[in-house]
Amino acid sequence: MTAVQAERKEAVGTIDLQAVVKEFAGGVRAVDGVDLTIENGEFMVLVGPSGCGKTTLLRCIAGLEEITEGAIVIGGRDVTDVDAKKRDIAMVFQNYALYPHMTVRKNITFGLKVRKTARSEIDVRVEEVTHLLGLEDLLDRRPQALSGGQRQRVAMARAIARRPLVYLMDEPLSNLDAKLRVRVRADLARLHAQLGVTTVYVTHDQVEAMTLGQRAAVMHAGRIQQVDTPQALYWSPVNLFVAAFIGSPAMNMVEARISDGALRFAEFALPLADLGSEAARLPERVILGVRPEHLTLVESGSGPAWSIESEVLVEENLGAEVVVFFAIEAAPVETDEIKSIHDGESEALLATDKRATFTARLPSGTREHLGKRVRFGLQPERCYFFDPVTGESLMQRQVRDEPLPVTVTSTVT
Amino acid sequence: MTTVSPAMPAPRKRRKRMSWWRVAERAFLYVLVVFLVVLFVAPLVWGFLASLRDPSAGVSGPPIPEDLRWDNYRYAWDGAFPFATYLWNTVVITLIATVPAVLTSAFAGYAFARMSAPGKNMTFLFVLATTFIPVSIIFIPFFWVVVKLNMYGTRWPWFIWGIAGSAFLIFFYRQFYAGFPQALDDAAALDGCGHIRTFVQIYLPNSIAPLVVGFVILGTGWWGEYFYAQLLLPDQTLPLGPKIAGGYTDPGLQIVLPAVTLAGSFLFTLPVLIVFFLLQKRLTQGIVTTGVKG
Repeated sequence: MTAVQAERKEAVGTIDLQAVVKEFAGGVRAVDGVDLTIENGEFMVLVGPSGCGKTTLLRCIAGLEEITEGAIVIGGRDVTDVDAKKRDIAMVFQNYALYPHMTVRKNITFGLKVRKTARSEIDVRVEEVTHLLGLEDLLDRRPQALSGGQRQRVAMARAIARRPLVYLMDEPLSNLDAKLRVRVRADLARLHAQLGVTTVYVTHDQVEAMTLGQRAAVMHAGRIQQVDTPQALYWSPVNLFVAAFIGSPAMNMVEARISDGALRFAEFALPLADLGSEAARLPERVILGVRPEHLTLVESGSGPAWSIESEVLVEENLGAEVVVFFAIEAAPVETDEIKSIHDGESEALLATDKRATFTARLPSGTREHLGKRVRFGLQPERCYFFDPVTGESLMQRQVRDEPLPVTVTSTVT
Repeated sequence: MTTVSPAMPAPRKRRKRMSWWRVAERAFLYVLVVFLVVLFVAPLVWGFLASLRDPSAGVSGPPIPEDLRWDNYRYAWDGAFPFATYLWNTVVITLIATVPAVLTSAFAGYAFARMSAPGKNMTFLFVLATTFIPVSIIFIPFFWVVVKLNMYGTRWPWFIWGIAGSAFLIFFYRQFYAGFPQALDDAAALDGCGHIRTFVQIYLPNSIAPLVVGFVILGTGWWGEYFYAQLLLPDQTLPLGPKIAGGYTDPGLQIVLPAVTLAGSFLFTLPVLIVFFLLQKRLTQGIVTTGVKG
């Protein structure tokens, strides 16, 4: 093998986005200077709330949108000005986009026929994908005679049969019901492990991002906020946005002041000494973040110094765990970033009383707390601090090798 | 299980109630529909009954003729003029003016809905504007163009109308295709299709119902067209419209026979009705886009 050949082989399936900008007519910058390198065979998730530019970025990679600035390199070839059909990619769409007038078999083979693939080769590939995805009984059906999950599989089959350099997936699970979504999610992970083809996967669901991605890029307002493994995003978010977006239920946040050697918010004062030497670096005003799973029940009165107390307003018993909601006598943190995450979510119940709502995840079997005052302990080493103006993380946190607390229930949208 | 503090108000129940004005509205609608049906069907029924009268009796007499003269229909078919020849002329003119028009209008509608070009919206407005020009203003210049192009007395103008499409149908298909899921275009583009293949292999097969609607709307118009046929065609290629409008004249007595003329009119209408009934399912069928969930 010559050096050039080796390089070619090395380059297969990599995607290199260089300062990509997509500006729509009217000056809206949907994608605003994205640099991202996706390795060969990697499963990369683009995640962010609606309107963050993730789908636009995916469509730019596909060649369905022309980019305004920057360059896109796929498999070592600059495809910035190359037509979608010549980019050697396949895409799975949110609504599947199956051709309604074609049978499943024709849907799968259409792209191959257009590309003048030999008939014998087409047969081999159809055989392969039908076996892989269990479509044997569906080949002669039309899309309207298929269930949502089956359509999804056909859409996958169509993409796989093409054997492209790269798969692009645009929220492929969002039209499935919650239970099916969990199963297909697991299938997707297995499929990727089996095929090993570079995949870019767009979702607004951070649970999908956490469970599927080898790495995930969190996007906000057309920019990538942080690209890292799900573990790192969870344990060491670089800013308020990533912290608030990753994790379900979302991280609790409250604005706090630092004075007289203590972190003060509402009626609480937590001694800074417990934070260690890093505490000296904190400015006078910070946003304190605590993940719901890092709040623990402690005995009222005799609890540790880092603890807070409030009345439980809502209690959700999910079987495996109990989620309780309580209010803190402080204003909720409502920066633009955080508002954009909660856009369209209904948290109206408690938000109306203009207090910060905290959530705690407690192990199942804990006795009923509803309407009672309960004391929650905080672990200083698992608290996050952010600059209230810039949103930057003020204290580096170590990535822990603990299973991420991802629940099934949180995927229901 | 979610438990909430008792302070939360319970959602109010809404009671179902049948209001009197809803009943009145229904009743009004039924009356209106029956009225419209009578308005449209009565002349047809009258015409059909009149077509069975004694040809020499004129149009007066009882509504239902005592003696049903079915042979009026035979006379209409091969009496005063060769009905079949003119029927064939009508079929030819209708097909060459309609079939290409439906296809080109659909393609133009696709282009207006899906492709981008500078001045696209102005062009579309211009196309729409042509529908507002009355025939009486353009028929003289049009006539001279036809003469200058040596097309007078030929069927070429109908074919040109055909490939030029219809402004109304272009508008109709543009609206229809604008509602097509964009994802279908994207999927086709990634499958390697250009615009023409996307239109022919993805759009056309998914718009059978609107194509049929276009065919019927335009086809019935050309089937009964009178003015341009009378203006441009010699007698041997005339369609039935002008011929029947001229009335069936008794060769001996040289008088118009209204009953036979009406019988001819019904024969003339029959193919349209047959096409309508054959395509009825397609005409009323919902548009198939079930493969796309969204």
